[in-house]
Amino acid sequence: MLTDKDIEHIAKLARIKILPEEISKIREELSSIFSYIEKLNNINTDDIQPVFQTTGIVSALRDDRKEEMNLDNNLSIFLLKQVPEVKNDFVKVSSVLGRSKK
Amino acid sequence: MKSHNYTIKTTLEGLKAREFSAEEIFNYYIEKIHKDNPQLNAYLDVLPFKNNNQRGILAGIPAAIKDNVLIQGFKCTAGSKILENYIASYDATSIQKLREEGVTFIGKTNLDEFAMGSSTESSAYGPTRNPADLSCVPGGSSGGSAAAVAADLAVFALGSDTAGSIRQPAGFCGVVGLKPTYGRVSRYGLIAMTSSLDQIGPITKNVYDSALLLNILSGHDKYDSTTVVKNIPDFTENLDESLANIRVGVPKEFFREGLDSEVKESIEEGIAILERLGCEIKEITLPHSEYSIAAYYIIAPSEISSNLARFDGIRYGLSDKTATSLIDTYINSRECGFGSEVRRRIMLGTFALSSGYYDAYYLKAQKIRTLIKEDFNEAFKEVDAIVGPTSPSVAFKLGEKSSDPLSMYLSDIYTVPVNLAGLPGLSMPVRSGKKSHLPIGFHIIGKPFDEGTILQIAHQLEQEIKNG
Repeated sequence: MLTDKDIEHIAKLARIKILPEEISKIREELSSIFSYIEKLNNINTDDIQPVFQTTGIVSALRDDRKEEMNLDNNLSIFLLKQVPEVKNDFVKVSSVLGRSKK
Repeated sequence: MKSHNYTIKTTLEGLKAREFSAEEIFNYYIEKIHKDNPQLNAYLDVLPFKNNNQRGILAGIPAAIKDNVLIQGFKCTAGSKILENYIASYDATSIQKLREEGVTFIGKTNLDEFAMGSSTESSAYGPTRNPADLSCVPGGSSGGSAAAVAADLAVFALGSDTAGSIRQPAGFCGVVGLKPTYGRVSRYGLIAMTSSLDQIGPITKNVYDSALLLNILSGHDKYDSTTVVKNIPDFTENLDESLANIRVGVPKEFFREGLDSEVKESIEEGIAILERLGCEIKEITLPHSEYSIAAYYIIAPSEISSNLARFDGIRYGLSDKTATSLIDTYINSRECGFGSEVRRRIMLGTFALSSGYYDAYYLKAQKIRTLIKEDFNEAFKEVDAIVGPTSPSVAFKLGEKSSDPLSMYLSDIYTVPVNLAGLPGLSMPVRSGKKSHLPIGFHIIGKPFDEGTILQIAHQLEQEIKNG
């Protein structure tokens, strides 16, 4: 059902790298799962409403009220410590357009 | 100290009688972990002793926490390489609630990577083994938590359940696992897998402990808008109330082909005990339950592909520093950080949500979910609870299903419908298999927010088995 080209396309959308030698195995695995899923088509669902959640909560909003907020400087330091690359307390990323890193 | 297989009750008695202090019982478990964990691999990490609230109702009770639940200041890996150095910056709400009651945290337990799996074999840190038979899996994804409780390496543990991940390993390891109603327990601080299905719950040595912990874990949380504002009953109060006139449904679909005969036999014995205790047993039907795995493997991967998009190697976690462009940072970090089951599910979900396929897959699956939920609604007009097997077989061997994703998925056939319908479910041990001698889980499913009834049934079945 799925082609090698489909697999390459999905991998690109998902930001997942696939080696050329893995493609056929992944295609077979995904195809067998999708062919199992095909059984859903045995049921006519034209008149059925979808259910996205089960709690019955309609809208969960906070009261529209001012709340004190304390900015925790230690938290920022803690979080920045986990960032792979930091420059002047900012998160550093590679070039979007793929120029070489300075 | 001798081996006691401490429950919450016996630990509290020991603390009160000054047989041991909170620190002594904590260190007793740490020593046991050092001795037994090398062969079980139930724990990924142990934590230092810290006295939390000494006046709490669980003061000094040592607990194991699944490693997808955040404890501030400690590593939380979710069983994935991509988070091998990630340190939690805050406590999950469930952790905060346990901390307020004085629980001490002994360690973080192993799980399938990002809780995706039914055997704990997809962990990046090696599989956990089943204490009942080391050649078998403990189930999953909360396999580390279930194994830790079964091997008495903790008094209790927290797990998370998206498709059976608390109940199935509890069943495989012979302990009690409770998945609360969706919306009962806050998911704040639980690393998200399938947000519309995930739920945190306790894994314990008996039903009483499970009820007691549900009292503490339940409640609305302003940090999780899917938690309901509801009064929380004392779940320990009605455990001994008579089962006379309680109507128990047995779905005929759960006893068809695919169910091992030794599991069937043991579950039927459990049902016979309930009948002796006064329950009215009725055959019921859940006609769409056979479609639940298929619907699940659209809904879960779709949410997974979205939830796991945040792991990009930029703000935390593993990052490939050789990449020269932003997109290569994403792709290479995810390549190094994600295992094959995680990649498989991200790809399944990406495809299901991709342009042109939404109606055929995601919307279709959510409509099937309606039918599955309506089946339960119909059934609950006639019965107060539903019982059956937790899993179609006892614990399988390591490696037996890891090369065949679909057969692994099918091991959740009885637990998945419960998550899709948002219901509470509990697994408790009944007589072990006659042939395999391995634990068998008895599954009790309740109406939404009626954990009370399933705990009551489970507690009395447990007492009857203990005394019988």
